[in-house]
Amino acid sequence: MFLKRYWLLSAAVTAFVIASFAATASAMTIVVAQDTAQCPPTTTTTICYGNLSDAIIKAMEGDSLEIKPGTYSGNFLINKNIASISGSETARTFLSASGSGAALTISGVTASIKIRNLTFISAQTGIVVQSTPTAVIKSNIFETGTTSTAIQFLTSTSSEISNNTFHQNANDILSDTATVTIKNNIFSSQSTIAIGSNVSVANILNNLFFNCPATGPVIQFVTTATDYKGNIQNQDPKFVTVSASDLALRDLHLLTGSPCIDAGNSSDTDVIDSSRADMGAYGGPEADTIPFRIQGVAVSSQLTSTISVTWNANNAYTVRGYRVYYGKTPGVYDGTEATEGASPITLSTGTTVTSATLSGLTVTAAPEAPQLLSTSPRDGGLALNWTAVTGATSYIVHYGLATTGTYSINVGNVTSYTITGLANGPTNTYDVAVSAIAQATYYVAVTAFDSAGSSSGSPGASRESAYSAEAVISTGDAKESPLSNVLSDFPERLVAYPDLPNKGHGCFIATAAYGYYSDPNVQALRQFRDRYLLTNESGRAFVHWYYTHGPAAAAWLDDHPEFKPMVRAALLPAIGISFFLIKTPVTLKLGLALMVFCVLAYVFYLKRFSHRGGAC
Amino acid sequence: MLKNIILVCALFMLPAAAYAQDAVVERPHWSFEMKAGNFEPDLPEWTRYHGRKDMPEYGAAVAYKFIRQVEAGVELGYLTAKGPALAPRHNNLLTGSSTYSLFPVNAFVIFRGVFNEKQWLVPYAGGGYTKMFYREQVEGQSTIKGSADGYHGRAGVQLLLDVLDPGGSNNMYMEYGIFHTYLFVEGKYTRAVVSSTNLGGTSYLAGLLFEF
Repeated sequence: MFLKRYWLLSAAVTAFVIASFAATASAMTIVVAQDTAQCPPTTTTTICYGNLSDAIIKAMEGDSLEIKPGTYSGNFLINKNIASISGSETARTFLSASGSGAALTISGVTASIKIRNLTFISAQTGIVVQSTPTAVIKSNIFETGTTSTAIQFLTSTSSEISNNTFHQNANDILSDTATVTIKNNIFSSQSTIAIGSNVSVANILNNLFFNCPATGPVIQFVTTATDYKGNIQNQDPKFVTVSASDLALRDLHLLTGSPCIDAGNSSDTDVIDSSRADMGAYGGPEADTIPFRIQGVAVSSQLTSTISVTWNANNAYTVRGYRVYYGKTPGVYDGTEATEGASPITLSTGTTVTSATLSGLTVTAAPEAPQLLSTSPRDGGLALNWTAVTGATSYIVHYGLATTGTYSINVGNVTSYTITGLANGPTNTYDVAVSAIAQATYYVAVTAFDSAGSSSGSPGASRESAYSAEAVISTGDAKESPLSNVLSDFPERLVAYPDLPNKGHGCFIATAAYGYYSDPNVQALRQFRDRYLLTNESGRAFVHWYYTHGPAAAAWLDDHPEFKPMVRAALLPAIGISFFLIKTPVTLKLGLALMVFCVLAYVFYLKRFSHRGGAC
Repeated sequence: MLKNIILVCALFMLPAAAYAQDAVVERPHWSFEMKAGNFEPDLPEWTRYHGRKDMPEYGAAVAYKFIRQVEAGVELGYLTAKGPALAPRHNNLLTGSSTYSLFPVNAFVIFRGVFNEKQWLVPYAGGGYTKMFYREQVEGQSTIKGSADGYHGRAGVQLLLDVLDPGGSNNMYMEYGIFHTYLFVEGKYTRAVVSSTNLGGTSYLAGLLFEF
């Protein structure tokens, strides 16, 4: 018994010691993702946060921060020994200071720290490295602004700045005392200084300087100097596109023929093709290998079962082709029915073929009829609810006076709708029914892949770009279901409880005379006002005059209810005319007008004839 | 029952008797009160249409004390409730939605049973004229507005908080010039009729009163 306890105790202590050791020994990867769908499963070595500041606070010594695509705004400070901070997709992972201060400050970090695969935008300074002896800044893009500085070193030495792309900054690298290795970078279109004068001249290797102002770059290109090897001046690096005003649409990958291709330091290789390193953010051993996201995807329907997909070319020299993804559900590209093949369709034909055809697509059968659940009255309308039907892409509401065949409205893919513009009252009883429409709808996205990504199919992962923005199209003939059950109802003006008279605006005297604003006679006058008075200048003037003087008269009538029957009688002609004008069709009104005209003409004729007769 | 009421009133007055010989102190004339509570409309079908018998009420009042026992003032209130609308020609079918709001303006006179500045329970009662503004909004339709004249009566009890926290009371006086702070509860009945409909009802309110 004692022996058994002894062994149990020993095992527990041993397990605790091992667990404690493991816990203290393993560094964590802290993922930062604004969309929780981007978070990997939490493990003993991986945890996810939605906020970069929180992640930095929670990080412990030796941990690594991996930032998922998104724009992270703030003045972030790292002042502990974090191993690295990196983006998972350079072109889509932005650190922004919103124009004020430094986007990222590394201060007092005594161990080596690596900053890579990030794009720094809209900051007075992209990165400030302060009292940090060994910072490695690698494979980043700096577009901080034309009055800003990309990297500022303060009392920091022995750092490395390699394979970065600096574009349209004021100053690219400034330093007080630093001795840094600067290699494989592209310095493009800075307005003031590429590399500040206090930076040690040692190890400035294989960089490209382009479109520099007359005053810069400060570093002179000296082909014979030992530590100035391989630098290139005044040659266009040939970015894919830098003209877009939206920084998220700028693609700083290299075009075919760029002088930066395989022009990096001979000791470095590209991760993307294992050749000698390219200059810039997408070259070197730790470059982001995900191609730039495809833009401009559009779809059009050629035939009932064929759609065309077009997109803008991705002309990066590493891109080898495109994949077209399709499906019938938004974001789910599991289509199999196209003659060209199941989703995705791979086009390994280079970057110039920027269209594809999907043919033989399914044309949907007619859906079942929905059930019209209810109608309920509204003022001049009817509110409807019906059941959803499987496969329906939209619904049509059919209605009319005593028939459903007069009007029909496609109301979209909803299960409730309010018909408006109807006449109120039981004499306007409408028959209403609903039918469902089904049409094949396809959702399409396109990706680009490089030479190593031609056989996979992992958008947003290594060697294949993330999905483009989704394009959607309906194709084939729309199929309509039989009509639902028919319901009959009539619109009417609703009232609140309690039903109170409107003394603010409206038919003051009539309301006072009839007691309630919702009285049908009052409503007839109201509709007459809305249709025949408020639609013309003189009518509006009369309404204004009435609104000025009516309330006083109504108040007097409220105080003298014995006069209400008299007022109601006086209002009868006006109410009768209102009912006639708002309830009768145009033909009847014209007929009556014609009849009145004939009677008047006849009376005029008789009077004229009798006058002549008298004269004779 | 009557004996009990008299006994309670007598108990309220006990503190007054205890402090009746206090020295003359400066007495505030103005008061401001904020209150909230429930209002039960005097409408027979209210519960049926709104699913509950009451609606929230909020109010504020400013009053002037001519003497410690008599004050006059003005009170503003706000009451609102959402519910379905009715279709009268569909046998009052409940459909759509509506918002019913009241804005009572009360001019009142109140008599307070206060006989000493440190009396910790003060019963009061009063009433006055009511102008009840109303607004009804059925979704998708124009707003109905109006007002009705009427009256109201109210009674309640004020608890002097200064007794519970003399230090806080001193601070309130030094920093804001507030002599006394009361916590009060009151009941109120309002009647304001428009087109045979009484917009009033019974309110149960609680709040804070500041004398300055």
